[in-house]
Amino acid sequence: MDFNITAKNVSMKYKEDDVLKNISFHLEHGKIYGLLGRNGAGKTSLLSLLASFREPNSGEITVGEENPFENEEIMPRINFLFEKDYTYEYDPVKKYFEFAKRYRPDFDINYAEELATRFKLPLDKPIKDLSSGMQSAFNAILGLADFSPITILDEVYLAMDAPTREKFYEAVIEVQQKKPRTMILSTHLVSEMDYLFDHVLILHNGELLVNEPFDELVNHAFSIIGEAEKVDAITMNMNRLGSKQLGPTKSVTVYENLTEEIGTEIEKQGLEVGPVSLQELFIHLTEEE
Amino acid sequence: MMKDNSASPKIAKDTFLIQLNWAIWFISIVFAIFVVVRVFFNHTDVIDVNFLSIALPPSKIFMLVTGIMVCFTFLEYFISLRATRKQFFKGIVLSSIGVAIVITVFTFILQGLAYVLGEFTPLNLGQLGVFENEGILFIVQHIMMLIAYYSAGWIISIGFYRYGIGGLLFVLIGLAVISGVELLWEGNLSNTILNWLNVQVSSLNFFTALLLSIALISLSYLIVKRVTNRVPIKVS
Repeated sequence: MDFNITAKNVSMKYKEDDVLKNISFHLEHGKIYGLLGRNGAGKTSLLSLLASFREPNSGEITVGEENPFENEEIMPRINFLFEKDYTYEYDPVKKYFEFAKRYRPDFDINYAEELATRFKLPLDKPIKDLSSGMQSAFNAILGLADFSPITILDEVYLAMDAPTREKFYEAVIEVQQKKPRTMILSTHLVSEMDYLFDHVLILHNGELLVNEPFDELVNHAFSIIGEAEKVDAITMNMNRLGSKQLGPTKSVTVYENLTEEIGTEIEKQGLEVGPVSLQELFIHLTEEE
Repeated sequence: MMKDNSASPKIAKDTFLIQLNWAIWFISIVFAIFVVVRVFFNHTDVIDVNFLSIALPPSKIFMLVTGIMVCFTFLEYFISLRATRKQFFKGIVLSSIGVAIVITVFTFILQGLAYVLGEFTPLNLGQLGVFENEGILFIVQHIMMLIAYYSAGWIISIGFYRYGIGGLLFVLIGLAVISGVELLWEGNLSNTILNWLNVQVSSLNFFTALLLSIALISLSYLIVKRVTNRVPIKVS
């Protein structure tokens, strides 16, 4: 079984709202996917579908060409972690790890304890007594130490402080080297995490705006900088994402392939080309008037 | 790779142990209250009241409440651990039967203790009552009633979990299950909130009541299964 994920024309309603609209994609196994979207874009809804927490209203999701919903072979191999309320979790961390091992066939308890040491997470402390940052780290460890073919982490890192997030990113790379799996990381922290992504999906108002390999995506956009009039003239017929002006100098971000022809023209006009980060691209693409 | 074909027994065992813990605390507290009431308020009108008859009504409420807690305590937890809804359902059915049996056995053990205390100390803790004559029958009746109350609680729980305010309809279904089992064993509804309804049924023989109880409980669990099968799990 290959554990590739395919979504075909998936739509989902929540009460009367269309939270996902006709979404299709194919996620090849073994890569790190960044799922980006603003609040309410539909990220958690999409991840709930992939994890069989819900079913789509129309369309289909397959994992290894089978429907994962209520599938006893597939469900235990997809690990879904999201921000949880641990107020009533009286068990200590170690006991919870043992419990996870009972149910999750790919959970590596030794590695979980090693990560806990790295994250300075006390194994004998009740989970409810951990700080919210530590609870996030605990949640992330449940995801990282489970070598399931598919791991979905829905913003579990938000409450971590910056040094802990760094350790988390290092661990993501480490587990991927140990045994590659499909990892889907949904986030707002685009600038911090972009180097982790092999592939990027951007959701906006329930629609899939972008579904591209990271390298290609950032090459699809660039900025043209120089004299305002010239910049406006050259970008007139391009897909403009945004602009900034400082005195006579203007910078316009465009969502275009930087072809040789465009490059020559820019050079001829005495203008400059600048790179666009994923963060900028994400902000421009999802900006609303 | 290990196949996850054994989640149901694990869920049954784990939820049984958690609920057992609650049940032991609960029955022990009821017993303590019973002893205090018998020792300090030993009026003649309660002289024949024994622990069995005292413990049954609160035990039913305990099972109802535990059943109501099922979806809000265990469902998301075990689905997060990647059990299927079907495995979850099977596990909880098994553990509910286990809890009903344990509460009943524990109640009888405490009744025995009360009897021994009454025989060998000056404490008057009531008679053995029904246990003297029809012990086994009473045990079976006790277990059936407790399972039925649990299933009614679970129906209410899954109704509200899945349908929100529409869960009110499931309260009616739960009430119907409770009333059904009360009528089968007690012949009236005096122990329920429908006690104002003057419904009487002629007493059934033990095996008829047992078979009808099993049918009612099965129907009740079937409703839970149908609603659970494709229930969306909330991401809290």
